[in-house]
Amino acid sequence: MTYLQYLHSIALATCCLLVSAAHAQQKVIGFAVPNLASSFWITSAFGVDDEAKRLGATVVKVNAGNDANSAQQIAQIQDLVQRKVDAIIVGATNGDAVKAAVEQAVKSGIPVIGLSSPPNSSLLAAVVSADHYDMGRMQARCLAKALAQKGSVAMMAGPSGQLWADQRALGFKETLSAEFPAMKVIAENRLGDNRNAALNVAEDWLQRFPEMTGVYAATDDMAAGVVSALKAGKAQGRVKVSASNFSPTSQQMLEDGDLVCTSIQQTVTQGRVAVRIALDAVNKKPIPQTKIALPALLVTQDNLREVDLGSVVAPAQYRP
Amino acid sequence: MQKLNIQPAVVVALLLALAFSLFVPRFASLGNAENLLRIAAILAIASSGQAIVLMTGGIDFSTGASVALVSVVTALLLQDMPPVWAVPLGASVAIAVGLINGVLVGRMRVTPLIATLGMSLVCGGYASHLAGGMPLDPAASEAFAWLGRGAVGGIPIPIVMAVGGFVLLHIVLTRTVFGRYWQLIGTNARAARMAGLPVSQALIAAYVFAGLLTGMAGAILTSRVGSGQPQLFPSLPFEAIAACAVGGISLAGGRASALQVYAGVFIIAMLNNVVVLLNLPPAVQQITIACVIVGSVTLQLPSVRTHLGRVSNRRTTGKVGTAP
Amino acid sequence: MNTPTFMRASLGNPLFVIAPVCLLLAVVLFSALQREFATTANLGNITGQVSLLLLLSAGQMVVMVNRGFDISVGAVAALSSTVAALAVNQFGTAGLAMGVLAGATLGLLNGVLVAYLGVQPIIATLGSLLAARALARLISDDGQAIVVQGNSVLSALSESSWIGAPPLFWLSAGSLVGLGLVLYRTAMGRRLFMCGSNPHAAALIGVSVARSTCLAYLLCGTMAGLGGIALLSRSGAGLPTEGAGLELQSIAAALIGGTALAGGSGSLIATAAGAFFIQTIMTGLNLIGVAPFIAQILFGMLIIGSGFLEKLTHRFFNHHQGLQ
Repeated sequence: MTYLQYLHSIALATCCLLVSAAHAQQKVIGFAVPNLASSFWITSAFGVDDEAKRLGATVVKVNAGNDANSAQQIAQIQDLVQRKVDAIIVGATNGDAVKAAVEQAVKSGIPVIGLSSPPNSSLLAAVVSADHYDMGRMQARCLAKALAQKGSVAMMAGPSGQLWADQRALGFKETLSAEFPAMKVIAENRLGDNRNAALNVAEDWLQRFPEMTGVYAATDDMAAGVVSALKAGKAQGRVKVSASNFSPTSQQMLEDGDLVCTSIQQTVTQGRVAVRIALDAVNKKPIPQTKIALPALLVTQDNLREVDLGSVVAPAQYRP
Repeated sequence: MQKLNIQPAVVVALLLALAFSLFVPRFASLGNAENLLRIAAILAIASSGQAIVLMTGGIDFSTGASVALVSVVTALLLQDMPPVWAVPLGASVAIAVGLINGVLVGRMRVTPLIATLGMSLVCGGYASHLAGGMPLDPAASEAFAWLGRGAVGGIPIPIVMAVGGFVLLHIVLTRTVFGRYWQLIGTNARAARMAGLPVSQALIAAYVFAGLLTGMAGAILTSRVGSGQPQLFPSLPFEAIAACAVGGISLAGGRASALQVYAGVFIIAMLNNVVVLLNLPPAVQQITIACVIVGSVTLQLPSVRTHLGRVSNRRTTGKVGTAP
Repeated sequence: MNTPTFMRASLGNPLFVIAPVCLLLAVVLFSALQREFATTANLGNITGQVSLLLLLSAGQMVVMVNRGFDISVGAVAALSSTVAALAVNQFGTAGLAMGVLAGATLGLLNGVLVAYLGVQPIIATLGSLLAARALARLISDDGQAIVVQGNSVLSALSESSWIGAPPLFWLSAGSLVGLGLVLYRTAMGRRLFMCGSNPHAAALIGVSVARSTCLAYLLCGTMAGLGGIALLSRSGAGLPTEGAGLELQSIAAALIGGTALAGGSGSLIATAAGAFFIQTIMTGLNLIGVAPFIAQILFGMLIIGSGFLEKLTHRFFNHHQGLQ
């Protein structure tokens, strides 16, 4: 081999080593999502994906498929551990059910960060939380304002046994009874958890409760179903609807005046923060704040223009 | 003497309707009846497709994912073309799904449950992927909402389509050769094959026809909710199968009639309506539905039918103990 | 003939080979695609993950042998995990028996409905599905998870390791062995196969078909009850709303394991392989880190693929044996 060829091969080898070293440096973050059928979690996933891309990390997402699929999520967290990811972000189907799996992960050296629906474990590296109770409280206040603090309200409260839905409903009910005693809850439905089912239930409500003047909806998708029913029943002037979560659906409804308000989390930002903390944990940097609670926001037709959409909703072309 | 062969499911449906009208507030109002019939219409069209598949001794679990895919594709197409094209094209996706099901079951002889379960996962995943997981809301338009919300001569479109579907189903089942084939295949597939029936083609036809009906139901649902939803109606296959079974159609295959399907659908739709009208808590809702379903099916059992038949015979012919 | 029935069944019926073959192919595929798959730690993981499905599929096989199926298994497992959690919090580890009892009770309800009242299995088990869900809601404050207060036995079941797999797996496997002994070694079990194979002939020789059918559903319910214990052990909490989708997975596992929907034929080993196959695909896809919606599509395709293999095997073996 000539001297030049020798130099050439050294250079090539060094390049390869550098590239593989860089590749080996690339951290892998696992993200256990409870349910990618919800705009809330799609938006979280966008936040996580985008921030990871920005910081040069890869994300492995696993989807339990349903808020009530804890057995799936436990298995998925275990699989992430097997894959030897560097950190795991968990949006729990049920905080108690996944505790054991999460603690196994932590004990095997993988830091775990709770996001929005945190596992119920004290071994988490950090928790980036969504205050669902507050979201319900905000809906109560805004709906009360729209109804002049009196009237009969029905609740499309989402699946029972799921923390996010239960907390929002509780926030709504307790605020209503504490601050607006002239308003009462006449019905609460826990079985209509998609737009079509909510539509059907709302139609039945219009028949059953002619005195109904307001509807609480746990998500904006359910609210859209309610609004469809109201429009069909020519009742949309008479009945006011409030919701939680933000997506193109609620954006359109606010612009059209079909929704009085939606209480939201800065979901994208929460995802970003979770990734940053995860990478800090992996790189053994100190984590100053282990409990991060970004405030909930209330979006109405008036302040719609001022809301930073980039922090609350995923772009249309995004695919988790 | 002509013996009246009344389907027991129809009797049960009428009895329930009567009971609910008397005891459930606002059940018998015009507004509620219209809501009820509209929802029942959608379920009836979808259940007709399921009934055809059940007749052949198969089962179709892919209908829920299929309507979701129809709605997502329709919403995407609406971005580029008017509803008059987008809606039929979207609905035809369900026919394609039915064709794939038919080829899997009819030609490749895959077990129907496995084939349609697999297809439901594939279609569901594809619908979610196309939509990016979140609902797709096309611009609201009169034309788009016409299917779900419009009316012809005062009668809502879904109900008109369901009546048309009933006539179509009845004709196909009783007057066409396919209807005959499906019944024979369901009764004994091997014998049918040995007798020279074109079993593969008949099965493919069954699933394609079911896909057509599912597509129609999907189009109405999409128009009704006004958006492309990856999770449009996940429990549709279960509701359709329950409606068919409550109507008296056996899951082992064989005979089925349009009247059975529609009676069963009516019972299920009334139940879903009544539990909300009564404002029952969710646990009680579920128990009520369970009891009424099991009860209404028990009423249709041969032993009970014999008893009812004897009673009715005594009244019409004056004879006791005649075999019904 | 001295060859035990199950061995004759395994060796004689080519359908029972499919699930183990599918499983082997899946293991090879995923080991090639992702190096962390083929580690003892991961295989140990899979055994823990599959325990619930294993129990449910075995129970499902028993009712399928009896010409039925049970769509309530998921809801019953959820109910039994909730009952067990409440009982353990009150009475300590002995409370687990209450969970199994809850499962057995619902199984008995199914059995009475199907065997003695003659209700179609789909309706009877749909009724008990709704009843189980409603009961679970009622005892758990409308669906809240019931956390078990610091019970070391339960957590040890799924967290420690006996020969590479958690004790929970060995207990599940042991339950299957117990079930196998009942099915293949006792007269009761033989009667189950007889009644599924040809109920008329069985009745002619004096077998009580009703009692056999009732027993089949009782066994299935008990297995679902044990499944609830598995669920409780892995999650440390009773989960009243869990289990949706598990009934379809258990039916799929039994079908892939060669159990005939028409009854009379089934192999526990093959069904177990079917359960492992399904779990292997899920774990494999998770490890590779495929985008979730794409993973769902692939899962559906693999399920359909296993259906192909079944028919290919059937055709292959029938050709070689010169049968039609």
